[in-house]
Amino acid sequence: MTAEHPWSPAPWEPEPTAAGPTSDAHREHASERNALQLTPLAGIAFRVTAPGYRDFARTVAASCGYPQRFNTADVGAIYASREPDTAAREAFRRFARDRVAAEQVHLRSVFVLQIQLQAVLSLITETARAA
Amino acid sequence: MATSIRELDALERLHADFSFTYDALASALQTPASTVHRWRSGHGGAPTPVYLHRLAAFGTFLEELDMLMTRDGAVAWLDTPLPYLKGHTPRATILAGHVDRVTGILMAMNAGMPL
Repeated sequence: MTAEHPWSPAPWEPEPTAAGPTSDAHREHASERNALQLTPLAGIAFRVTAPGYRDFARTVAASCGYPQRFNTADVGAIYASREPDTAAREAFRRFARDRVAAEQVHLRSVFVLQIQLQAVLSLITETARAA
Repeated sequence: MATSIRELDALERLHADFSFTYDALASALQTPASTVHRWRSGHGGAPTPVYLHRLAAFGTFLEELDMLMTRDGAVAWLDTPLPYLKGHTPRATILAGHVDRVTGILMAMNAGMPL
């Protein structure tokens, strides 16, 4: 399962700010955006879950009840991967860590999400994480 | 003889399918064993809202467990020490009154949350 998937910037531009292009606020905002690499994104993403977790509200509630690496109890999250392989590997990693025999696991669903995000915060670089 | 209180169904399943004793479950619920026996007999009143909430947590645990794996798998898993539980088993964690911790592990697997 190593398919290429079309990830392309969304056609829209970031919302213009009230401040002019030469204002301090604008420069500060631009600098922050640059450091954090906020970019729009449109495409598809994948989740490997129990079929009962196709429901986003249930998924978000679960993430709030049991916060994971990238969310807190008051910020819900839907975890997804850009590649189906990654989503599957994440699922199997968790089974392995929690000593669940994969052959005993009920069938999982692979959900494909069509997403359009106005801004993506990439935490890949140390600079971004520090900012 | 089970009563018609829906929340007690989880107790019955934990006992029948996973060999939890009623006395141990009573301890996990922080109530005397006699109270659990009274609830189950249907005589002497229903659980108070505090205990209904705790019983509902057992129900949520079972729902997630059923969603994740087969019954045979679950039987084995309940007695498997988990590093995430500091070497305790899910069963011991539940009996220590922390069913929510075990439910969280199951929920994370079911909802596709990464490590």
